[in-house]
Amino acid sequence: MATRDRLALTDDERALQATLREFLTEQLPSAALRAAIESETGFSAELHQRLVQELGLGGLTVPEDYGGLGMGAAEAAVVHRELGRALYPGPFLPGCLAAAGLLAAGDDPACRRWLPPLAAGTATGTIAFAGQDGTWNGTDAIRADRTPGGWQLTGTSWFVPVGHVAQFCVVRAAAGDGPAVFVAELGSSVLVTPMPVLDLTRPLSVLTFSQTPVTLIVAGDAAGRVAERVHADLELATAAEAAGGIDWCLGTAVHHARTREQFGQPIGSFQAIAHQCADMLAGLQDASASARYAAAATAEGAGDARLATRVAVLRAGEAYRHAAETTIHILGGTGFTWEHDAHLYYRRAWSAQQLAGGAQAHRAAIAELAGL
Amino acid sequence: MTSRQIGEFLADADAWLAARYPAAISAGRRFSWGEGDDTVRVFQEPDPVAEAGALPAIRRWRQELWDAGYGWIDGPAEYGGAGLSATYARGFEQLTRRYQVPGDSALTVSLGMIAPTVLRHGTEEQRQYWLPRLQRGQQIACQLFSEPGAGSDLAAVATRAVREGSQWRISGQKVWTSGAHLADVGEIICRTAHEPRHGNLTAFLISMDAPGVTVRPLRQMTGGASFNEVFLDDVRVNDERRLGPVGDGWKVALTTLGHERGAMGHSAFGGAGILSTERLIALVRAMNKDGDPVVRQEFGELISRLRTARYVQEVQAAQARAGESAGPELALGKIALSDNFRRLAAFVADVTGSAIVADTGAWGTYAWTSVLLGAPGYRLGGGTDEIIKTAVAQRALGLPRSG
Repeated sequence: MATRDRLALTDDERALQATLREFLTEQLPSAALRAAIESETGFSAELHQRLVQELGLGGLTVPEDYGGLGMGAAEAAVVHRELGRALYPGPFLPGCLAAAGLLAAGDDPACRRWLPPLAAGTATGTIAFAGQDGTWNGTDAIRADRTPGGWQLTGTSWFVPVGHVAQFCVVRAAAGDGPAVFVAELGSSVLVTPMPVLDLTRPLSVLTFSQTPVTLIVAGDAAGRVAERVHADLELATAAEAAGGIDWCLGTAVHHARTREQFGQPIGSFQAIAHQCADMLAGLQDASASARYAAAATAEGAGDARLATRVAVLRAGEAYRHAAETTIHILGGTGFTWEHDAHLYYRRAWSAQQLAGGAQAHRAAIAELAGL
Repeated sequence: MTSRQIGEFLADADAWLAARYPAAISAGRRFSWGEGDDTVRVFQEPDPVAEAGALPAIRRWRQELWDAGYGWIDGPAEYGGAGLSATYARGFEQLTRRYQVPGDSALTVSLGMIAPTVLRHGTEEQRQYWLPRLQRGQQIACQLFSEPGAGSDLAAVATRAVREGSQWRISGQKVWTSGAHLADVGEIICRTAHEPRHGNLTAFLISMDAPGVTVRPLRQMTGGASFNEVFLDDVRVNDERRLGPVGDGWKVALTTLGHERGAMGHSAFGGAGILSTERLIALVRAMNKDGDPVVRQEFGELISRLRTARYVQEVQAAQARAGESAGPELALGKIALSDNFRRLAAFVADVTGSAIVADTGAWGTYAWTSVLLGAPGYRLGGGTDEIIKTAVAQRALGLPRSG
């Protein structure tokens, strides 16, 4: 199939979207979200188990051979969008990225070891690819040593999502003169230090490895390609989550603009407010369409998939930051309070754009991918 | 509809085109910096004499299409259409780009805006009479809406139509009328009573050569003249030329405007279709700025916006194919287009430097002035950006009207 034949949502995707929307509206209202992020783990383990057991989200993109649902990038984007709309704080995205790393590396024993428990919800997985500057460029922060007993890692990885609860992580390190990717079990030989974070719904940690025994899954140039695949999945997910987040922002801002009265009329009747709402709708269109196009192009293996993905994460990310800021502004003083959820979306919008590489890196990549 | 059927349809169409028209010179050829004409076309602003001279060939082309069954591929069979889906029409349209055909650019208003309005609001007799004539290019239509005192506030039109037996007498002035100098017929919105404001307008189809109609070209800031002023001095029109009920002209006008915004946003793919990425890259290289990180940032930003405008159009087209009905937010495509033109103008000006303000003779530099000069027009045409935002806020988001 061509990309254009995958652009409209299928009946199955529509049903998946509706099911998730209903489930999260019921199970994750504002009070539940607040309770979850103030808890020790930052999410409700019980709710996450229900998403895994009842809806199969743990193994959404995991092939059926490894106990998952075997869905592709297009269906995954539908899920990311709904979870982004609800600011779902559980370990879904990190698990998807860990699965993407394992599958891209193609090491069957490692896949057999970790994907079935990930799909079943009995193990939480994550990735450790970033250095202290947040980029995925350096591998020098972690050194891999070959010992008679196997590979060992020593060094530090930063910005590791849900590192505080994960049982395993896919981690990149320098092995001799080149990069390599390993799977590490997060036990007593890994020090996990939570990082103070801007986005309260997405806990991050520093992992410090000291002679931690690990399993090599890919080395050399192929390791670089695995990192690129995982980063592309992070970009796709970030774009889809942004579309969901903008949807919440727009709905919240429009509801307020219709009902809040000043000078004897609803503030939405003033063009200064109405036009900002129309701009947000345009941002939602841009984010939704570019995220969908990129996911469809990726699912179909189209030649422009990489460019489309960078375009989607840049435009959706920028539209999200703008929408979150506009929503706070339209809400007025209420929007600036801790009690209103608007700041949680504002935090997510800014955080997600940076963690997916940042707007400047996306623009530079787009210039290169477009042929300049 | 199966893919086998559309495959056969397109193969037949391709054979038909190949038997009549030479292959397009540009087919399969890539853009090459420094070769050929460096004109950057923003608006269709041909020389008026050449434009009028091209009309007979355009009319012949439409007639041949009609005779062969390709004249109105997705039109209803009862009015001479082929009754096929829009996918067939799009497929045929893409095929025609491979051949040197006269094209439909002079008929954008006729086919893209007036014909759909007649189909929606015309009587059975009017549809039978006008639709084949418009599709065949036998009658070319323009849109007589704006007036000196009624721009964004279209409901303020002052041109009067007064009933006299089976006829109406129309007097007033229209302005910013694209293609009035080429048109045979005009869809005109007139005031037929004083109150209420939106309920006292009536639409007609008037002959542009009727006694009392005077068309004067209006020169735009670009230097071209594709617009006109149209003066109406006691023009007589039979009641059978009335489009829709008396007092329903506002609804008729909204239908036409809806098609205009869609057509504008779509025709240029939000700016991506008009100017190729290749040409922009060649410009950056020719100016020796491909290593400049600031230029690369700006280029990445511009490309991301042009691509996104295209993705929005493609997703909307896919949703339409899947049977989802489009909402009023479709009009936002026009804003993406005007926004992208402004960004494009700023980018090429930054990259080109002084060579965009005076012609150094260097290929493909001063030519970009057309984008710079055309950009403000896109913010105004098809309803100003602000009018569209207001309409979208009210109709798509349900925000209340002011007052």
